[in-house]
Amino acid sequence: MTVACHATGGGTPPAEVTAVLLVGNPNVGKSTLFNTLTGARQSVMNAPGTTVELHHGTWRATGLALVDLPGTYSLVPRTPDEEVVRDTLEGRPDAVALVVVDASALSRSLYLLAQVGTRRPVAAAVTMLDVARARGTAPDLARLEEILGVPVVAVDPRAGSGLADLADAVGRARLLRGLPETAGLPPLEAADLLFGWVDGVLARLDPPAPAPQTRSDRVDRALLNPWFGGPVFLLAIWGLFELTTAVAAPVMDLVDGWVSALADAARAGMAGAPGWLSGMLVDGVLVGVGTVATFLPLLAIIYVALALLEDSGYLARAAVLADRFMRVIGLDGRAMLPLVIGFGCNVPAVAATQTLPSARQRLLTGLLVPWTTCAARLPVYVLLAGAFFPEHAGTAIFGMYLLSLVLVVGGGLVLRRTVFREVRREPLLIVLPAYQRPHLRGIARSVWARVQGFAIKAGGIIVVTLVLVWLLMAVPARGTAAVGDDVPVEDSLYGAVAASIAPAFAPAGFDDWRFSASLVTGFVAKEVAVGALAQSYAVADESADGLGEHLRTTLDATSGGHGAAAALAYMVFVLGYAPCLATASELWRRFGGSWTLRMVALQLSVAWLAAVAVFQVGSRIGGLG
Amino acid sequence: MTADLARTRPSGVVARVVDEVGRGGTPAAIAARTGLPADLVEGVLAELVAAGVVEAACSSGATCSVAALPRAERPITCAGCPLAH
Repeated sequence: MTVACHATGGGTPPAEVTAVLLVGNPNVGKSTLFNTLTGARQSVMNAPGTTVELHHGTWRATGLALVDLPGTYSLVPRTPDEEVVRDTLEGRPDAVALVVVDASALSRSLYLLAQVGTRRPVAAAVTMLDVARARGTAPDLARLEEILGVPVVAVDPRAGSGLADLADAVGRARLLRGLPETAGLPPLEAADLLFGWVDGVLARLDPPAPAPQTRSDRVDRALLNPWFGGPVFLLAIWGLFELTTAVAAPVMDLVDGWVSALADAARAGMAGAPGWLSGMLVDGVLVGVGTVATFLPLLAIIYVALALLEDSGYLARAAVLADRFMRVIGLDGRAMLPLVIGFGCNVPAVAATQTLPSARQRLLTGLLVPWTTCAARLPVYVLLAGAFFPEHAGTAIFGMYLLSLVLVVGGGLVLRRTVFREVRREPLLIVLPAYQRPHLRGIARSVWARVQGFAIKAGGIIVVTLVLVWLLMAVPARGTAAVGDDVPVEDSLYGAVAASIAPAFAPAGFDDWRFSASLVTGFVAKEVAVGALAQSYAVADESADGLGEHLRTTLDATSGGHGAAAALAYMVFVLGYAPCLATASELWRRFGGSWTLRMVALQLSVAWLAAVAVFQVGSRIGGLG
Repeated sequence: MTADLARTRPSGVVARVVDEVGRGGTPAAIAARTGLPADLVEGVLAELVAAGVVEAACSSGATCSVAALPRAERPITCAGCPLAH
């Protein structure tokens, strides 16, 4: 049997139809309709060149070939299934399309109907009318047929109702009425025209009732309001900051205490072993592993917090709120979180860059993180500010945080205009998900996998580097001590390296091996820089009163009487000079060695220039030395 | 691209949705603010996501914990997310 078709404007339909293509959105009852229409007279074969299955059959009532195409929302394909739908429609000009229209989601079905109906005669089989009636949104099908100008038939594939009318409808298939011309237009412009047509059809059919507001939307009215949502966002940021300091720090101290106790026990247990062997195993390997272990609770806490924020849907809201500020440096709002976490600790901050969608944005954010002044740098500021600016210590420390912000924003601006020219300038356009309860089991699994990843990959780099540092401190460069003896720091290879680089800091006013040694140690972990200074001076009291006197004497001598300017320059250098070993390892793990080395070189250069500038200016104005 | 679309658009449906995405909101909230049917907004958003003009929050979730769950335990709402598979 063949069916004659009737054209109504817009194109020329085929004179005779030999096949019917069944098209529709997913889950609208299309396959059930196909099975009902064909019964046992069907076969399955792959679409040419694909693994996508096409169901072919014979429509029992008409004798026409019937092809059940995969469900799709659009003819702009995103999946192999959707490509098959588009290609089949383009390759079968002899066929009419029977579009299955979901009455409970009429707009999306009409959009697909419009895409199909621009090219070939169509008829519409409307399903899900029971669902639409229950919602009170069932369309008037006679009116719909009048507006569309094509046959529209109500069917219930499971009950078998409407099937006889359907055969008649296919015989009367036509091109859709009033469709805009979309040929040759880019997909999105064509989509805009067709959505406008759908909107017009719906308005003529029955103006849609306003969409009801959900609980998520009511919460969003508050949380996306800058005047209320802004402070809530800052509170969330403060909470994350507190997690990296107040909450994680005691846990890290606890683990540190266990590692120290284990190291003491290991030293006692290896009392009979050669000094170099026990030193390398305990102070190199064991302490290295202990350093990695110390970071694990911190990372686990941050990962849990990030997963909770993301799973609940709040992270996307925070990104929308912060986007305007972050766009200045070419990043989207999500970059705010890693940068804020960086003020607590840089290691989880680098890890948190994974919340960003593009690799370039993750890299740019990761490169900026080390300029956020982490809590480990605070003891250095407190010591130096207390020793050199006792009346204005708070102002000096605040100045370091301010400078950190300047470095992040300034660094971002420079990088965006040089290496990262292609990063985004458009506002963040993100469709917000509804708020939902986080999946605790999934969070536990993902946190475990990520912490394990850090321990294995970044941990390996940390342990190897700490063994190398131990070797430098154990090998004497001068004096009478042998390898494995208790080598004085200034006589070790480590002291020799520090002394050799100290002259580089003469323009910054702190040309002294003890200060350069503390910077080398500070690369291992920023918080031990103060301890390294105390060790170099053989002073047990690390306060501004105890150690401070020695520092003032040294810097007054190296700076020509401008000790305060030199101290400020040293603080600035500590702020900016390089990420600590754990951060560098995490950078290396995520962005590779090349970018990490380039970043360290850039930071060293910027920190040196800033320190020199601070000293040169500070030593020339009154009040700083 | 969005600005171009807003300038040349004959229907304005897509541009209205894009504007509301910029203000922040779920598909339901965007439908309520534009007066468009919710499923029409979802259709527009699907095309915008496919064209790379807007992002769906769920598809940007590198920290999304759902990916760590066995497939059978993932919520049905994640069925459309390419990263959940």
